[in-house]
Amino acid sequence: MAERTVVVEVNQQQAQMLDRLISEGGLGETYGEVVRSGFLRFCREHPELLRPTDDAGA
Amino acid sequence: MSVAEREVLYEHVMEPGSGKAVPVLRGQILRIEQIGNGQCADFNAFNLHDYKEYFHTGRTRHLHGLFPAEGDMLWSAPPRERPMFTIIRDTVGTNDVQYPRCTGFLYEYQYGFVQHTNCHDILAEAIREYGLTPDDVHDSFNFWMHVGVDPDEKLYIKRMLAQPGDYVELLAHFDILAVPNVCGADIFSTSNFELKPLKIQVLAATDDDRDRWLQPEERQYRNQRTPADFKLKEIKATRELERDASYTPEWPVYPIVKQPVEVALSDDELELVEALRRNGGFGQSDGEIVRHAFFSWWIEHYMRGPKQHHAGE
Repeated sequence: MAERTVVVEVNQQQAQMLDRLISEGGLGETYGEVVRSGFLRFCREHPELLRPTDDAGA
Repeated sequence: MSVAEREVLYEHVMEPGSGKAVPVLRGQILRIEQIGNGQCADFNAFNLHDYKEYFHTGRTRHLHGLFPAEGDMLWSAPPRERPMFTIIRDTVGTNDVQYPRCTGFLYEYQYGFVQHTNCHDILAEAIREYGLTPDDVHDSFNFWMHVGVDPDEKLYIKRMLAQPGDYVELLAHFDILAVPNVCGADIFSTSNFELKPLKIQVLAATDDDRDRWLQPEERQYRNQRTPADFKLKEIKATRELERDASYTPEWPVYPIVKQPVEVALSDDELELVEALRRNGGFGQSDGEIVRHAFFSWWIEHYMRGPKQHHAGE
């Protein structure tokens, strides 16, 4: 499966949040895995935001 | 619960043009009741033992929305940020925390009155009984003020809905100097163009009241601070401001340092990034879009209290 790396910048406070999510488990062992998990879950939970908007192409 | 089931500790009728500063101790209830046909009550509140802790419309609005009502709390200002009161009963449910108290300036600027009843001056006169000054009056909780937001996102004042006998009851979570007043606005629809008296009572709470509503007295979070946490603990006693030549800043979190996080996405997953880019509300770069979506997910699942976030907007 082809992969590409997207770089997300986080600061030290946001990193603390990622540390907590890692310690709680279930989302991944690294910051990158946790962000990826949250991103994909968000997309699964919000299919309405992935659809083209009504005025697309207008 | 009727007043008859609670002991009345204090009672006073505020005539138009007046207000009253009244101590309401922890666990006691302040009741404000309509006598006439709909009258707005502006309201200030101070920690009875430290007047620098006072009511804050901003945090109240943030946590309870534009029109707090029964079950919502009145919060003190940062950095204290404690619930001062809970509204345990509100028979109407139209209150406002957007509009500031009306002032003498307002009536002069908008209407040309050199003198007119106004909440700031009434509140100031009420708190003078406790040695406080006009500078200590703060933005008010406006009981029964019926406010709307128009399609242009501007506030406007609707007709007062309260009727004789309507009331609010506020249970105090610590010792407070409560300061209600009869709003002085008779040329807005705030009180339907007529000033009317309001009755206030301080009631002893029942065991049921306390069991149901009373918050713990001790602070629940380290960031609900007290003067003991301040670098300067004393209240400044002069009006002139002078620079402290020895000052060097000690910012709480500084510097803010960013680090890159590499997120590996498949081609299919990158299509999701493209879809969110088309949505328009997530940012421009891939990194911005993934970060916005990730934190939106975090807010939805982990954040306590009101979310106040519409992903993609």
